[in-house]
Amino acid sequence: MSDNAFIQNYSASIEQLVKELRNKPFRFIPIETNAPIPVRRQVKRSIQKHYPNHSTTTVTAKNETALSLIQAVYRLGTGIAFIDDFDTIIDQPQKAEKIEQSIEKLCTFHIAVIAFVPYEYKTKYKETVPKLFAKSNLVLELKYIYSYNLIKPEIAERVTGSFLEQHEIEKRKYFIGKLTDELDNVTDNKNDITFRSYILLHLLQFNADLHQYAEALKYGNQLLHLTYNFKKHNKKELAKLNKLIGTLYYENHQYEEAEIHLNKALQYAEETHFGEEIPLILHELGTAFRREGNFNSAIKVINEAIRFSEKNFGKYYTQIATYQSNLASVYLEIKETKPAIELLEKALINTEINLIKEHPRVAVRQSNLALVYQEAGEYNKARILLEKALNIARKNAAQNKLTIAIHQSNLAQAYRGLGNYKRARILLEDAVQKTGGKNHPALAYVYHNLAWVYRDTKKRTKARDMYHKAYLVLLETLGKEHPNTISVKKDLEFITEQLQKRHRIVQTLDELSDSVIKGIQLIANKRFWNSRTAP
Amino acid sequence: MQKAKTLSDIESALQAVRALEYNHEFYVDLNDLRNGYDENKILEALHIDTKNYTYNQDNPFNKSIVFVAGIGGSGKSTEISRWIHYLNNPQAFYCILCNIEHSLDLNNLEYSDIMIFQVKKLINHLIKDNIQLNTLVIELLQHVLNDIVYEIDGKYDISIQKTDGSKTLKNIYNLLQNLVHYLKNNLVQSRIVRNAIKHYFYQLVDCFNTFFEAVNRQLRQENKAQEICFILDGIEKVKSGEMRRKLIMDESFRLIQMRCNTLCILPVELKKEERELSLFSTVISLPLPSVEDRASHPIEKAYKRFIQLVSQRIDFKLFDKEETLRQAIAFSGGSPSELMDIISEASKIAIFQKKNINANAIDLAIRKLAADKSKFINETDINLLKKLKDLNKRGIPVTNDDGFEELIQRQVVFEYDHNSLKKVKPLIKASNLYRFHVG
Repeated sequence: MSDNAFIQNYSASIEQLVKELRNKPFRFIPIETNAPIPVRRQVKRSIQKHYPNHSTTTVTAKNETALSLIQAVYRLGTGIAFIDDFDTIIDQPQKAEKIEQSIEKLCTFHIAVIAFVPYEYKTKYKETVPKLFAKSNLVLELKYIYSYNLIKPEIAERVTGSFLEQHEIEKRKYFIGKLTDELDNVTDNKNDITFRSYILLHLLQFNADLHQYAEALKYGNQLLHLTYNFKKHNKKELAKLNKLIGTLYYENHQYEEAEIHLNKALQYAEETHFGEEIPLILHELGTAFRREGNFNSAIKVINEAIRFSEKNFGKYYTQIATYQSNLASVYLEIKETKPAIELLEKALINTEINLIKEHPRVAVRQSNLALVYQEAGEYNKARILLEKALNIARKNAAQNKLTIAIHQSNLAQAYRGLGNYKRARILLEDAVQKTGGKNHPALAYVYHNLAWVYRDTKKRTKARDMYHKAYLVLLETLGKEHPNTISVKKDLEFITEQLQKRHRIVQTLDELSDSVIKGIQLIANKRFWNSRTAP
Repeated sequence: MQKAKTLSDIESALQAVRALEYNHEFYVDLNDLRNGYDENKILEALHIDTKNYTYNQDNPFNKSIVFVAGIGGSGKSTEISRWIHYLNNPQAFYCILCNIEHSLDLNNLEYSDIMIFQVKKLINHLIKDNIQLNTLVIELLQHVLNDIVYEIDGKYDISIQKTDGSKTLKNIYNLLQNLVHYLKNNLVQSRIVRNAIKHYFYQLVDCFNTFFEAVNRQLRQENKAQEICFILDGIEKVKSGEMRRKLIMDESFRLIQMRCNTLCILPVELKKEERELSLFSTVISLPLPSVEDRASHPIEKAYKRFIQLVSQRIDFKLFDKEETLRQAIAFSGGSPSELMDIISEASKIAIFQKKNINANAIDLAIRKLAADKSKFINETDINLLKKLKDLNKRGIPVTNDDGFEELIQRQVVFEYDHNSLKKVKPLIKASNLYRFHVG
């Protein structure tokens, strides 16, 4: 079903409801949602557009006392009252109580009070304002599905050069040159062979850091050959090396070869009871399955890695946090947010136990969890975590500016979700400065987020400029065929077309770019619609 | 250190150095008295030919880890110096002795500390012996160490400089020296340094291993040795049993990442983990010399050897007669360290009595030491000691259960004869507590 079809269904429901209300008294219609404030406002405008003859008002509960809220409704007399931030009423028991006390008087007005209720308050509001809830015949759900086409700033578990500064890249290139020369001077006789193997290992690692996987594999296979010749009885060594080669193959998108090597690694590790390696290999296998899209196998295998580690090394063994984080990523791929949140919460606790609280890795875990909170609509929880992550990033001298920019960008998303565009814009504009124009896919994410904020605040020309910059970065770093590049290109074309038409852009749901909102579903809770009668 | 010629010299002569350098005039070989011990097993585990002390490992990738377990005071550190003497030759090893006892914080220690300390000692030796190394290898090590420094510098008053760019061993030595300083400084700083080391562990260990192989190559070229061999001493002196276990058992996966030959003293209570340890190492026991047989009859050869051991340190005229010394030897249970304690205590009494060391002085010394050493015996220990007495009386072999292993580790019980014979330490047996409760 298209967005329009959903809107039509929703509109039909509301029209019927309003017809019901016409000569009927007061109704309360909660819309349980995970959508950010900009999307809620777009839903509101859509309703207003469909019912131009109805008086409407919007109240922001945060800024009003209970009395002024009630008076705003009285002044409306008849029509639709929107409450954007119903959660602030729920968080203030005195305000909620005053509203409850006024219910009898409110019921004499022919008004539909439509309140957006964040998911995290789904149960609480029914307990806090039971009399008001009793006036609802209809409970709607506005489910916002995040687009996975855009880059997620998952600060990767495996640091394989993702955030290398230029000088670190240069250093690695320097070592590759020197090591390649040295390799020519080192024979493969008995006296030199071990030294040669370490040269190959370093060459493999540095090439992998620079994403030069084919080169890394070249050295890796030489190392594997050498190892089979000299260490064929040393299965632990073979386990480790096969795991390494397997990882390189899947980074190079050669998934079949990756699985072969990882399964060999697992076999060697199990034969030698090589405790530490077994969950590591299982985890790598799981990550390879995920890349292939075989999510069920990925879940099974990474779960096994976690179970093995907990049993053999203890619940808070440091590596378990990595497995939990990556398993959460798999759940997110199949759109299961709840298990992902549980896993990321555990990973964060594990990391805080094992490292000092200001360690950069703690910030990574906080960020990853916060992003999923956002997807579940829990923007405030996300904001709190992202503030902490940004503080840690700033404290760490080792954090490069790009990492700080990414943290700022994540936090800006949370502020945007809470409707605080000013703060979001300031964070993102500063993040752009910090990146210094470096070409990195994560920079495109910063530009794209800023484009959203400019669009929310109607600065469409600036929004177009940001889309354009994001597009150029992605073109250079990921190529024109990459889904992210294509997605951003569509956004750019859309907004350029709008500007060229010089029309005032009406922000209705069906005008929003597909690439930004993949699915917005308004689902009428038919049980309520059919069963309740007016008092 | 000189032989004691007066009573007042005795204490300093016995306490000054417990572990002797090889070929020291005080050294007496007790190895043939250690039933069940074969020194050749250590050499074989290290792939050293027992006839000519040459290294003969065909597979250059294979490095050996050997654990030597022995009760405290049994002469392990003295034996280490012998092994170093024989193994340090151009056809065998370049031995690096790493005694952590006075160099690291024994109350707060993890394997990463030992790792850094080992490499620091190695570099110190290389500098002293003027061994020149491939600068690329030095650069690689500098690169990863600088990353660690970058992560920790400025935190919690840690002030540590990166290497200055010159590709020298001295540079790296200074940096490692600083890391060791912070590792034993205070809890917070040590934790930060350790976390950084663990964060970079695999990169660091790859660089260390490359470094070791570069050193091995150079040693062979200069005809100084075939391979490096680290000798780790002092782990058994780490204060808590839990920490000792963690270092050897829980952190074994880190230990085996360091690809170099290693000979390590194993805390005696971990000997029971031999099965697990043998997955990646060889475990060899260094039992106490036996001064009496299973039937508790004195072994004359052992007594003569211990008399020689004492005579080389103390002028025999300071004893009234040989029987006095024999009495002390009997109560030592074969432990050179216990014997030193008894004689040292007896010498203080003799000074007070203004006589030579006689049977009375020995007797009083034994009583005092028995009271001191039995202070921490508890009810559980008493029950085990009763059980031990009964088993020994009936000639039934004693099992290696946890209770007895703990008593061995606390030196309440001594072990002999291929670890098949356990006996209560004579000084404990002499205590009033033991006599009253066990009989």
